[in-house]
Amino acid sequence: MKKEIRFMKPGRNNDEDRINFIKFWANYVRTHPDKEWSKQQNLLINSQIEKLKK
Amino acid sequence: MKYAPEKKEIILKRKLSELDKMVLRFIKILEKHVDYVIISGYISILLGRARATEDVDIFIQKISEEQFLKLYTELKKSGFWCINAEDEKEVFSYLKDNLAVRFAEKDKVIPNFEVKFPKRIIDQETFNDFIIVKTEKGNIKISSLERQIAFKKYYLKSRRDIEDALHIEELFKGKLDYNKIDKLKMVINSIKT
Repeated sequence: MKKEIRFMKPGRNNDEDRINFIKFWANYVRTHPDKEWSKQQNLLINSQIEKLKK
Repeated sequence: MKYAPEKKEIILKRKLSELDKMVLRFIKILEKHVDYVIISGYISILLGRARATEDVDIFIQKISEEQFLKLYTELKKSGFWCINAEDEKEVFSYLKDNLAVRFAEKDKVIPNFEVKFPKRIIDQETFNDFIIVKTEKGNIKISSLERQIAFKKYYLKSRRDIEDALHIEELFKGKLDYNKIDKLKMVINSIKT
């Protein structure tokens, strides 16, 4: 799997910035090993589950 | 992640999230009793979308009350409860009326599994238009990527749904069948009018 160094183009408004980020992240997922992106994504998902346990 | 459309499979070597583990635990019970397919938002999350969710939508094939009771009993024994009703006959009656019922882990409400029978022909077709996602701890059956995109973009259409579709389109660029998406779009437009 080739690792690409890419940068995200900032959006001119909130909507465009969200769209740019989604594209940027999808490209990151596509070009990085599953273990690498999922570790980051799990911080988001697992923190939600942890909050519910409390 | 490796997607082989001709084999209808995705090999996913992700580190499983707590949500993925819960899904695997739930479907392990489910598939002993009934054919199922996961639809909607969880698919894009499993495939990397950077967001959380409060529910996982699942179609199950129509089953008899007797079959459902066996499923319900095993779910309860395994630590799940139905948040819609306690009485199993009442839960089944909701399904029969084409209503979704939700199961969560004991003493919790979210995340939960929203289980329903397919209502329309296009829903029923999902059982023949699926992909198996092979993870390190088990397989997960999801609706095809094209079906997922079409429903999100042309049926559900909320901002979050459009973004979920965009994630899948970007992720699988060059591997999607846009003729299939267009055909599904036409069917979706016809059922909406």
